[in-house]
Amino acid sequence: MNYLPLFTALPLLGAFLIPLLSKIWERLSDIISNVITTLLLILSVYSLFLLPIFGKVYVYEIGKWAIKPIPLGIVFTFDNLSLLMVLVINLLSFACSLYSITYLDNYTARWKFWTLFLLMVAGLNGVAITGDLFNLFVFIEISAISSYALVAFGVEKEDLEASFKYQIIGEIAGLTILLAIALIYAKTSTLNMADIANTFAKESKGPLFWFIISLLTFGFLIKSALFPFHFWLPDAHSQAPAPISAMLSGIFIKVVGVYALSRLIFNIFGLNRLNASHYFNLLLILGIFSIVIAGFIALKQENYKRLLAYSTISQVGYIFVGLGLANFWSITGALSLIFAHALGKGLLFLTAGPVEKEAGSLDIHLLSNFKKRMSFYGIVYTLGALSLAGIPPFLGFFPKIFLILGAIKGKRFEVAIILGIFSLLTLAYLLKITNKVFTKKEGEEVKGVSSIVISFLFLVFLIFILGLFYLNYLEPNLISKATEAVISGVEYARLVLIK
Amino acid sequence: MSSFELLIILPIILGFLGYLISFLRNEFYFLGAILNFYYAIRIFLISRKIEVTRKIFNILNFSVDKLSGFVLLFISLFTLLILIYSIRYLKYYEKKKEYFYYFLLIGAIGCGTVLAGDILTLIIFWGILLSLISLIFGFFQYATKEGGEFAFVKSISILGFSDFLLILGLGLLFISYGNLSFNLKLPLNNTINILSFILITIGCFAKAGAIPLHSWIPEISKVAPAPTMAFIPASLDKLLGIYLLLRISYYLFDLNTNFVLKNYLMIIGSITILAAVLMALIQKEVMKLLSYHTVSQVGYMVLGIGTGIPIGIAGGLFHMLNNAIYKSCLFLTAGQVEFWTKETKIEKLGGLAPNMPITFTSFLISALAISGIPPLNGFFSKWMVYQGVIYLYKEGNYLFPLYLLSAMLGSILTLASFLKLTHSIFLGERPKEYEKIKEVNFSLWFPSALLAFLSLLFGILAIPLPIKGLIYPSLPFRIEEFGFWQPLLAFILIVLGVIVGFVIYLFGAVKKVERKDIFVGGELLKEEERHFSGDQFYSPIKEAPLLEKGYEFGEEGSFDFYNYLTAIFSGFSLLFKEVIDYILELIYHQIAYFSEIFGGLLRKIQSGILSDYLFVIFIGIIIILLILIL
Amino acid sequence: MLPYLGCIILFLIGIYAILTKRNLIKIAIGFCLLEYSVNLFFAFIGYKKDALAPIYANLSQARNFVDPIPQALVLTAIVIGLGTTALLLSVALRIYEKYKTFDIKEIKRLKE
Repeated sequence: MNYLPLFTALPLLGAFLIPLLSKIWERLSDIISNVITTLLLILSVYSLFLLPIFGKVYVYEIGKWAIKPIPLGIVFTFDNLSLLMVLVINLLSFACSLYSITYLDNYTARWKFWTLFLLMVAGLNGVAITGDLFNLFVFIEISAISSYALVAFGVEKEDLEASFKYQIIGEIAGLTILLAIALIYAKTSTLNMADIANTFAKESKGPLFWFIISLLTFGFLIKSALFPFHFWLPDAHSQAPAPISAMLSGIFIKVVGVYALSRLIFNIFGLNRLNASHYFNLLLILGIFSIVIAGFIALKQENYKRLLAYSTISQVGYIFVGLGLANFWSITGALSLIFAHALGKGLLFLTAGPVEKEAGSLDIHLLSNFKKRMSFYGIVYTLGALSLAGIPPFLGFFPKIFLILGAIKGKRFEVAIILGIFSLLTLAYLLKITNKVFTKKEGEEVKGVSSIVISFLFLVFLIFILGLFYLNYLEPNLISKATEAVISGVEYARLVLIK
Repeated sequence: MSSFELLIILPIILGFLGYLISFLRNEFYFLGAILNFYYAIRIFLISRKIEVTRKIFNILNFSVDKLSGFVLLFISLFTLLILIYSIRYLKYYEKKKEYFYYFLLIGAIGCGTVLAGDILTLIIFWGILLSLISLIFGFFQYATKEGGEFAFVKSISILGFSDFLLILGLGLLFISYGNLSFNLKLPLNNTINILSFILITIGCFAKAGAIPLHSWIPEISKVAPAPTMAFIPASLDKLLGIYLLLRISYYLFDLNTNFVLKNYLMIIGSITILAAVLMALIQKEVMKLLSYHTVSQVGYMVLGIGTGIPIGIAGGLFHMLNNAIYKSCLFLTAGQVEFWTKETKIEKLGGLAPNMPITFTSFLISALAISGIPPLNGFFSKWMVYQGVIYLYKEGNYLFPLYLLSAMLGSILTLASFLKLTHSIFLGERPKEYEKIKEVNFSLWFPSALLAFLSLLFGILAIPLPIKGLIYPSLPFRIEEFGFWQPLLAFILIVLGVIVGFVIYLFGAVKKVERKDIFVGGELLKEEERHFSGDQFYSPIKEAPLLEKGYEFGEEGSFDFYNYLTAIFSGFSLLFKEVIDYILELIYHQIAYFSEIFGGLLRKIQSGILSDYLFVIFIGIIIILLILIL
Repeated sequence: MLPYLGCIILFLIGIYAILTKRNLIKIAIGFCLLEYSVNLFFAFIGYKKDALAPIYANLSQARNFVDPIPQALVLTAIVIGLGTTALLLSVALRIYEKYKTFDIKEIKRLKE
């Protein structure tokens, strides 16, 4: 598996090639970026089969700086959790880049889009595979900066406004994370995550330890847009171009927020329900607040993408409830929800693109008076919505059921009831769009556009097939292994350093 | 490939082929259904001798025993018959090819559901079935009548929610014990078992349509055409729901170990019988009336299964079969009437018996069967359920008179309701415009006539054919004989009585009816004003003192689970929007500087102003620091 | 201890500017102050009293060196900060072109 650096190197290469080569022929940028995302998808699926051969963790030492005896060099570590994230990132970035080929006809400056897009993919992949704390920060910033620029890509009034707010809030999170990294370095004199875990395991957990954890939690909760840190999300995710909304909502907040936080909390600081129940209760309560408040706000939204954005906040609440319950079932549910939500919400945001292009607006009232029929987009949207709301046999059903079972197993029956009721609310607000926008009896049928349609079919196919094979294939081979990687805590450090 | 895969895969493939070339012919659909039926018979015959289990790709685990073999046979039979019917019935329907394809898929997946040998397989098939049903209902959402959207959303919400609970129950079992097969007879004495039992029963109730989860059936009857009604709520969902209820009650769990749960089932059953039949009495629309009866009949099955007495359980199972037969026959015949008249309002119909003799005969037999008139099959299964209920006193369950009373009262009211329906559709005054109506053609009347014939056959030869041949072997206990009812003898006596009556009619004095003009206040009443439709028969019931309130509630939808849910949600929504906002405003405006920012902040959380966001975020970190460090 | 105190003061000034200033450019400046304070803090971590720079040819006895890693990290952080600041300011200018104002309270088309 020594191709590991390619996950970041390939998109970085593409990002630097595109500005040069697109001077020759602008369409070259489409080809380069799609080839790269396809390669990344192939690599990540290949890793799915290759990783079990290498055991639970594969460690790549950059520039042969040996991790033993002193972990000075930078490493990439690739375990089952990283595998899950890499797979999700590249599945969705593949679909989004395919989609963007036709979508970008609405914009000028193709190559700028592709450069930023590939930079973002590079950053996200880097976050998922890095084993070095400062590198984590660098990759977070790479993906964040490119996402700020992409949100403002349309340079309309609202786009700029959303981007500015997003930048300020996002950078505060970034600085907080940097401050926490500085403190961690001051305390442990190392940046290798596994080594940090070992050092912290030996020491008692004083106020400084909790201060560091609070700073990290704060930073990553902003990145993952949990209530009350969610304010930037509805603006940014509703103003970005459709494929970027899909990337941001589908994977960005999960990789940069949820994945990074759970990696640090579980694997580096070794927290679990036994030694830090108040911490997990905090996550649980914030998660429930997110579900409830964002769910009700979403019900009242009148803008297509803004509704979806609030729905994302609510779904992130579900993920955090799963992390907060912190037992095997709930974390399986949370990780599966990362997967299911990436595909489902990605799909929903992508449908917004052609709808906006056809109707010229995303206001649900205006759309409900729009004269043409959009049956294909409607069916695709509804399938995605059913999956997100947790209707069997789609993929989104299993995370919800696992979360509820996790709540029952953790003896939090009130949580189980809230989760059950609010998954109905999810159905209500998502199908509101189906009802108002896509159910026209007459009118001219809107024709689908090639690459957009292919990307939709790809995602719908995944949602359906992975739903069918969830319990028999996806769960045992990918998700429960990733859950094990989360649950086993500082075992991660031992596995990395033993190499 | 064994029959198991072929049974499910062939209809799917052939249905798809049929879908591809449907602009030419419909034969592929037929072929799919016929092959499905053929393999169902083969599996049924195998299941008589031996229990078979089969694993496919390590994912699906099928197993068939006598019970599932018998249910499978009938699901397949209904798929075939109703497909034949709908090909003619929906001939001019715009999207018929999708409809037929989904129809076949539902039949195939229904077979798979019955064959499921462990929890995972059941979850998979049950989930697919729900989405297929939502697809087929979704078709008629706009195609037919007004209110379609609401009916669709309502049915799918109820079915989706209850299936969610069912799968939750199965999932609870799965994580507690692993992937179970369905014949373990777990005792119902710990929390996990009881909780999952209740959750699964909720799913069964919604599928079969027991109160309070029944309301999707009358609602969808406004939208879906007759064959869909005859297939999905009347036969397939009954067979599946009650099959699963039986399966979990006496195979997966042992219901006899929990007295309270038995009574829970019986109370639901009795309430369903009585409440639904009362609602049915006052309906003015054929399809809606029939669908309330569908709900009511479920009560007998649940009641019979809840007794825990072998004869009662056998009665419940037999009633499931009978109900599927005569209820789909009723829906189909109602569809035949609608096919020519384009009318489902009871008051507009009348006197069609001479025009449609075969339809009338089928309808009459089924109506008598559902009312429990001996010697038809409905009587027989109800009789067995009654016996089961009566035996309860031996166990010291002194609630049995109530159950018995509601069951019998329900039966009487059903008879009353069908008297009215038969009168107002087929007898009585015939409106002018219906005089030229002819009998429908073969492929429409054949399925319903066959079903009516089955009703008759299973009634007259009840003991040798269905009971000894199908019902008793399917159940895991020995059933005591009961000998004081001889259906054949009774049938002969009744036939003799009818012949005697006919002879008297032929030769007696009642031959001629004198027709006279009718005068009201000295005025001659015109021909059309004499038309007397049956839908007013029971309207005085509505005005009876106690029932009046109940009807009002019912009409307003107070028995309706869905309405409660929407009310709760809109209430919460309102609460969040108005009340909480208001209170927060009041509180925070009192405090000086901090409160000003806070109030503005929480009044409109997303104010659009960056500094407000930042302020909340900094308060957030202070709270996190306080919680985590202190 | 004093340098660390300076760090904290710088940090607080930055937060004050971000929270209370209405001008986009001032907010950006406040943000820069925040960034500098964190970078400064990071640089201080590596500092040891009376220590040498970690550059040596022939070392005959044990000596105290400053930690070089934080400096390398701070350099990276500064570059990242440069990128964000540039983007922030260019977006702020574009906002001024569209809205004709730098006042953050006027820029509230996206709400609720």
